[in-house]
Amino acid sequence: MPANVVENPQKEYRRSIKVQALQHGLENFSDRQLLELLLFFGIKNDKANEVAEKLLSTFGDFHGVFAANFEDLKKVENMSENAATLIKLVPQYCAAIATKRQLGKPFESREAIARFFTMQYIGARSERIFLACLDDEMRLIDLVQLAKGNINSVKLDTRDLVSHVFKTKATQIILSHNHPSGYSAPSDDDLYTTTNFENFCTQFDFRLTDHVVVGNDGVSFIIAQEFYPRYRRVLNDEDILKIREFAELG
Amino acid sequence: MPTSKKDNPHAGHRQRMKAQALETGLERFNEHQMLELLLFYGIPQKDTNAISHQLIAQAGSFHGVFDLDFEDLKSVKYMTEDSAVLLKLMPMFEQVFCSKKAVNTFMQDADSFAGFFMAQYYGAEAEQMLMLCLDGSLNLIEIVKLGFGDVNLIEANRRMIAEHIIRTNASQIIVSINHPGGDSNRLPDEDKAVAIFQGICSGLNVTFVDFICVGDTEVQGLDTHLFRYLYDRTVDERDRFLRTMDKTIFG
Repeated sequence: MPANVVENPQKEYRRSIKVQALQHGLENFSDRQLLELLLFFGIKNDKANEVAEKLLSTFGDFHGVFAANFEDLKKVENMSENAATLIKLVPQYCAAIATKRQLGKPFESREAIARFFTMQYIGARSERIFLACLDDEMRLIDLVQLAKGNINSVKLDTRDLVSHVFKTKATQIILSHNHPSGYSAPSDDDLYTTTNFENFCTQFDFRLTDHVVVGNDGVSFIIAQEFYPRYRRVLNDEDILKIREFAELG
Repeated sequence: MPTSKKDNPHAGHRQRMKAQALETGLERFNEHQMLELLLFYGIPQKDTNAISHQLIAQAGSFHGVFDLDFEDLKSVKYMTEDSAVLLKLMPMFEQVFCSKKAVNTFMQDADSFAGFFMAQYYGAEAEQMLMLCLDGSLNLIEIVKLGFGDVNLIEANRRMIAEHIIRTNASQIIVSINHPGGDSNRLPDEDKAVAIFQGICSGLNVTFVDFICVGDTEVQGLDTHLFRYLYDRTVDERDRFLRTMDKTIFG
């Protein structure tokens, strides 16, 4: 191996990074290195490192890069169309693998559910609703995307949902949606719909086991978790004054 | 459709598959096609569909392919080392995506926030206006260089500004400008600029969070007290604050 170091240092460099990834995993990789590794596929010259750096500074952080538009990705200097395509595709592959691996197998824990649904929304820029159809043993029978909305709203077609449940012979379901640009804390609307929907499902003899909200900060379970005060309010002038006072005090 | 590579009959096919994947996502693809598409990277000029059939047959399932040993992947006919690496990387990236929470790198506290802007303008000799497109939890989506600071130009470029906001799907923005060789006090002209930005934002249902003036040694926001309050909390505190206050504080 040392014989051809001089021959093509770039090739050798790429090889060493790939070997490191395969042998030790990606835990010790920085965001920039992770992107660089992906860019090796699709950027042939020695610009992968530079492009990775540019991507991070343009789109903010690791997740920002994967959520960026294809067209915007392509605009980054030295970016190739192939590499931009790969960046858009990787989250989808990860989601597909996660889904297919779960089919027919039970969800063992709440963490597993959280991870599973987190994967479905990587790189999503608009709200989407997913329906997971489960059997009695919490085994995943099918996962369908029910609806796709704009940045902060999405409509649920209940007839469509019921037909999927009947088709898969599911006895329980988990519903999920994302807040693509916000926290996972459910909105008042989310809570209201969930309560209504629990009753709706009971009528037809299946159970809404949970309603999962995926946000930037993590995952919230609406039914299984009482974790936050069920009210929100809008600030008035008085509140703002109080905040200022507070801020002045330090 | 650029089918210029006339000696490679698969080029057009590959282009079409990639275009379709970008447009509709992988939902319409079957397992073999999904694998075929991924193998384009690393296997030039071979029929990757045949390889994908072989891989799935050997692994027993689609997801099984990604769990195969590296050596086993390589031993499949026509597989290259590169494509085997890419396949192995997929489950690894799955881990990465799950473990990496979106962290707000530029808003840890007031000092680092100010530092962020100082760094943006470090060494700049001309005035330049930046627009930070942010998502609902004040994470940075993109920094747009507006390239001008003059009120009249801002007025004239309303549409361009709105286009950037829509394109990046921003739900909040912060605008900043530097004063090369000056302090960070807001100039009368910039007050007008703020009004214009507020107008644009209210029309697009976007929150105008702040207008930051960057001097040579200091940074100022629209409201000095609120600046401290907002940016000097820990991430957790600010999260909690924003959550209970429904984000309207900035309005």
